[in-house]
Amino acid sequence: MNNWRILLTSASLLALTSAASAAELNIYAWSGEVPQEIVDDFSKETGITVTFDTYDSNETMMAKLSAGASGYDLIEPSQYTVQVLAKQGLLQELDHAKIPNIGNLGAPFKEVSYDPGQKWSVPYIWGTTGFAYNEDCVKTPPTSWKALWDPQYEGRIYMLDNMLAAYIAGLQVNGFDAGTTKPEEIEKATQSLIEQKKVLGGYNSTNYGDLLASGEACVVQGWNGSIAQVTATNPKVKYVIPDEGGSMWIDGFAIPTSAKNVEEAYKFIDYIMRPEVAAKAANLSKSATVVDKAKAMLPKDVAENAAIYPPEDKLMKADFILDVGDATKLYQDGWTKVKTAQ
Amino acid sequence: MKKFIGLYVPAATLIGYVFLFAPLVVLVVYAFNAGRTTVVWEGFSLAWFAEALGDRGLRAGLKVSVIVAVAAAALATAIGTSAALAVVKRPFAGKNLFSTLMIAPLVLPEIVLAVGLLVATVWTGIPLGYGTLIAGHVLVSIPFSFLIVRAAASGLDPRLDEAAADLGANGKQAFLRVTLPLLAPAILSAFLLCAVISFDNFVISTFVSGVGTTPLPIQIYATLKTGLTPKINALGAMLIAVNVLVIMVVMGRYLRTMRKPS
Repeated sequence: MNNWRILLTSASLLALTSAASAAELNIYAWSGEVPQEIVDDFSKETGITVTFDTYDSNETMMAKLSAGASGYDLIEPSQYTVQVLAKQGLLQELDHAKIPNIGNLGAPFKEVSYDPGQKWSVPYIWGTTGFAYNEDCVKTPPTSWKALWDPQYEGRIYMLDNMLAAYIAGLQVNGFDAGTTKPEEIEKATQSLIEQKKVLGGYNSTNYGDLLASGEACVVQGWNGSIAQVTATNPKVKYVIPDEGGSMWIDGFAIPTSAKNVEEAYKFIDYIMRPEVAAKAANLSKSATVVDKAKAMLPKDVAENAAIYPPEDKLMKADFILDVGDATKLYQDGWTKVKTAQ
Repeated sequence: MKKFIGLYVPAATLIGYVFLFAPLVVLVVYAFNAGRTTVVWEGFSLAWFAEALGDRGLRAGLKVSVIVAVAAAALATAIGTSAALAVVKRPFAGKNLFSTLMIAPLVLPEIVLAVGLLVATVWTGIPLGYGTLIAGHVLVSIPFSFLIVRAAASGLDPRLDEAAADLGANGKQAFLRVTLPLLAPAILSAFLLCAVISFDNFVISTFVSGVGTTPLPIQIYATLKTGLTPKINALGAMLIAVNVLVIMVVMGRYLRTMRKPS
């Protein structure tokens, strides 16, 4: 009898101690943006067990979060999503004292319009939406979104299968701001996108880089990251931020209100802001870092890849897609019209 | 005209097979591509198989999918079989209504079920995870196990039960020694079908998967944003190989039992 009691006590003690020492962190992030190695290194250094789930769009992540306690401690929303989530009260205000490395942020990222002063989120990586072409097919280098409407490439033009991305091109080709809320401008863009369908090979946001590299496509709208993967093996593929502006996106880390492992979440944010860690992450994921000191540590083929780090003068003109509020409905209705038009 | 009809059957069969299998053949071929595209052939390589096996995200997704598929299929088959036997063997009031309700998930839009399930779990405070995933998958696969087992059970000769009772078997013995062995093939196919339905499920999983329980289809879908590589093809090729193996084992056993009596 006594033996049993000793056994039970020691067993429960064991369970208690292991529960106390096994710190956990549940991360919910974009697929392909946080390399596995970075997570492994973090676990090794801190002893925190990380559960890592991925999502394919901000909307998927928001759906999980707004349904109630999702169980996630750290999420990776894009700029307009930070606004939406903060407005809904789903994000914690960040305590900068727990992120000493936040000072490593590059100057332009400290004052981002969607979240000045990093009240809700800390930028992690950024990129642009523009277009790319294959030199074999397109002889004179295009500089305008108009290339995606050019009848000489009929059937070999592809657009991203993504409402916000398509409207960047549709609005800017008409000279409008990409984040507009004016109904008449959105309507005009819708007409342009319907008009474009005559010359379009299709909508594609998965393997458009491959289609371009193989020569099946001449011009494709694209995110710089996917194009950068292709330019590494096929130098004939060129990425362009159009003269009309294009757009820039930033994905950063934020802590949901319902998070349980808040300290661990801060530790991860601080870890990933270290220059050497940021450099490793940017190199592995072939994306642009927000940490200035990290950029200097990158190998030349990444740091000087125009598809990853576009020329700064172009970047200044790029629009930022922000929360368009009630105008979202206008975009959605227009996009339905575009997709169903013959 | 006669000649045309004579050609029509083999031609239609051929077109049908090409339509069914051409995409699978292309998928498997590009799993061996040396380049990183799924469009241009750049030479033979096994590298993507190593990549797929080494990807912790995909491995975790596969593990979740297998656990959920086996558990959901077992539960759905047990529930479906019990319900089917009740409907076939016992008279009770509201039998037709009961049967219709059993197959209701088949005609209800899955997205409605998924949203309802999510709302219900949030409302009751049940954490999202294996439990909710399995519950959701059981919900959508019950109609299939019910229909399969009911069809098989209504084909059973009721006199077999009577004969068993006549020979002194009680209800339990008659069920375990007569009904169950006769229904075993139907129950096995119901189980396999339910497992496949669960493994494929996307809509329910999107809504009710939780921390660390992202099933494979959702894991694969999430990777699309960064582009398709032959890694996904390699994974698909391995899944097809496993499926073929399972079918061969099951079919092989089936053929052997078929031959035995003669």
